[in-house]
Amino acid sequence: MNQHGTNGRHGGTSELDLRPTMLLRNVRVVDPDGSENGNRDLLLRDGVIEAIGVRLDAGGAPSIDLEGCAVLPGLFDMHVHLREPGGEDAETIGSGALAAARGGFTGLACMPNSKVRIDQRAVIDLVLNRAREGCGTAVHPIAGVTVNLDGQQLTEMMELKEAGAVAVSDDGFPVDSSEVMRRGMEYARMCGLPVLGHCEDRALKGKGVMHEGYWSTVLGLRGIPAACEEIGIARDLALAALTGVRFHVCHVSTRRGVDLVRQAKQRGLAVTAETAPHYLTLTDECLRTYDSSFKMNPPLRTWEDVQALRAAVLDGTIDAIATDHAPHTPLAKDGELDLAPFGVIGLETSLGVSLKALVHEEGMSLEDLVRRMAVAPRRILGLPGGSLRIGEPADLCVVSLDEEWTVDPSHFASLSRNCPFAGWKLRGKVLLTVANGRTTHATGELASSADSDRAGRGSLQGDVNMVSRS
Amino acid sequence: MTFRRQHLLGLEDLSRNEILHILDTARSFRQVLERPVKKVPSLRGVTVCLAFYEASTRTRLSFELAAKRLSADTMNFSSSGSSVQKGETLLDTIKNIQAMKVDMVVIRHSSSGAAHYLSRNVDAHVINAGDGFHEHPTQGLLDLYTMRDRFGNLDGVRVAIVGDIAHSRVARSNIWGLVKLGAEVTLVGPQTLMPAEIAKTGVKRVTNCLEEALETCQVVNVLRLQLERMTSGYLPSLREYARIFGVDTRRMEKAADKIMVMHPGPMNRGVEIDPAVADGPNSVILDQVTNGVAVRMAVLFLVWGGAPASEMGSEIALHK
Ligand SMILES: [Zn+2]
Ligand SMILES: [Zn+2]
Repeated sequence: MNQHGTNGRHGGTSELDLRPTMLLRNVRVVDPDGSENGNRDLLLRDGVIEAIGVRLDAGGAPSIDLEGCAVLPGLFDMHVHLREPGGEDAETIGSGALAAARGGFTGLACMPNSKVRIDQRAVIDLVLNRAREGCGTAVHPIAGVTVNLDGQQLTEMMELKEAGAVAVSDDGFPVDSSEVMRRGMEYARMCGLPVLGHCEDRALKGKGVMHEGYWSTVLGLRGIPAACEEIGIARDLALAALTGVRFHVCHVSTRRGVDLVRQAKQRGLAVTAETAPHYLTLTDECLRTYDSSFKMNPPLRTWEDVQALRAAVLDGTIDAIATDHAPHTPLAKDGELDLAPFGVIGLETSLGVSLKALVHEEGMSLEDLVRRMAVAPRRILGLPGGSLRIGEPADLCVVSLDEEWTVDPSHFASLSRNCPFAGWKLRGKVLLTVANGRTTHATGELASSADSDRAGRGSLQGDVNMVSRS
Repeated sequence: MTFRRQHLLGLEDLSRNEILHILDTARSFRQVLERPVKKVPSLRGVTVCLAFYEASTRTRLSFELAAKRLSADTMNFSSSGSSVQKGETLLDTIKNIQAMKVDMVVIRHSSSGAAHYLSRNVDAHVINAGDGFHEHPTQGLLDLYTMRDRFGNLDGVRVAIVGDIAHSRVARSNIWGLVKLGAEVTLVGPQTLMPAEIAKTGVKRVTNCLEEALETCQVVNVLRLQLERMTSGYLPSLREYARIFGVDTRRMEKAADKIMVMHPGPMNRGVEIDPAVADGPNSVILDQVTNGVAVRMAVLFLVWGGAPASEMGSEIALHK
């Protein structure tokens, strides 16, 4: 069975086959925006949530006991790099969509810094078309603030929004000129688009490779001081206050970055923020073996920063968890650390790592985790969803809460392997993902049930991405 | 004790005993170098590849001589000058090394961690001959050797390291070695060339005042100043650097009579060190060069799996 088709086209399987009919029994419903929470049965018919309740009648649908599992609204990753168009050897829209499905995500937003930038309508059309050919994960493009992300000329944001862009960002290539950034924010505000800021003083970063501190000194690697991020956030928050735009701080990695966001919120600015699972778990010391799987920008910081970030996610200062999934081929990533590109992948480990860092270690509620991983990202981008609504197409994932698994990047659906969590034992495994009524990932018993109406053609076995059948 | 390391990548992860073991072994080889026939058969049949991605005549010659004194075969691989293509050349080297059945690789590279990377990807033993700003363990060891020659025991010996600490692999290897052997290390240099949180490495003192360090220290190790530090904004001018941090005769007047002056070479005479000091009575700079060969013999020998120092007689035998 093909584990990652080049673009996720599905051959002989018709759309209807992928719309699950089954009764999920004894499952813990975790839906902060819903009325039914706690242990329930959930009945899916042709991809639609027909009922949520106690001791439901299966009405002929296959019924599966899911004691120990939770059903969550489909997760949403608002910060993903899909590489297509232009970097298809590292990831395609199809493979990224599959990786997302495996991770429990039903939707994602992709950053515009593919080799061919998302800065004009044709590229948005291409992304959306490719996404439609894929497994069913919703893909929402983010357009550049400036053409070619070179910080000079604003993109045609109004048209880009009409074409489907949900936000603008020059992620990876932050607008250096405060003047251009100001105009970009003013224009985005007019268009009703949020600006997602990769906040960084690039001159101060220079040729930095890792966080500047004790470990950069020991390892002899050029440092990226925390001040790089603090200056970037402070500037962009000042401009957000000036322009009134909805501003979102990407990948906060520092303690003082958190403080700046907190203060801005207290002042009443329309500001939101995200951080990534790796900033909640790893520190700069991880680089001591010079493994480029720990090289990303912003860089891994210190344990103090990790603790401040966890606290900020717990108290809501940080609204969203996003992966900054940044695939690179082994060829690009292998070799001398200072020459390797920044970035790590995260779609297939995000939930497991977040459960560990926040729920298991910090006692965060599952409801709050769902807020950070499913609800807030959609709200920030002005998208509906993030709840389990009766009568509507299911958009959910089922997680076996106590099931342990070992992270093995060689089995990822992502085309890349630059994962900093290889070998980690995580608790909480995604068994089923249904995006907008379509099964996008199913494993074990759920795979065969999801496939029940095709029983004549043999049932699926093992871990299966539904779309990969042909 | 036996030396069990497959590679020598740095001094940071070596124990005090491992370092002493290398230095004791080097002492035996240093005696070999005083003989009329300066060659032992210890590494006969062993092939050592000298892979130098950065120009360095002295370190390469020192390693080459050390290998030859041990009767090893050597081959040179240098690719200095032209910019190193990302990853490719290092990976290519690895494949070539494997294919040619090389036993040991001595690598010099401008990227910190290059020796680590190589050690993870080849079967051969890897010796780091300097990687980026990270470490230059054999330089650190030869500096320790030279100091031990004078002081015997380095416990409590006061050593100043002067110059561009931030970009110096020599400084880092010296710091780890000296701290492990109990020396009291003072770092001296301009604030722009002092790396973050360097005080946590176990050094005694970090200062911008050279006079103060010279007055109290028994050894001053002067680092080479890379001239590109001027153009990249770390320093205003060579003139000002020499004025504040140059080890010259005027400053030496305030130093202890017997202060030992070291420099890893090559020197910028008149910048970080005055010729009169470099060639003066306190200088041990040429001893460092001689000791370097003995230390590198010891490293090649031990990493290959040579016998423990205590069991070595006049005949240095191979234990493998
Ligand atoms: Zn970014
Ligand atoms: Zn990004």
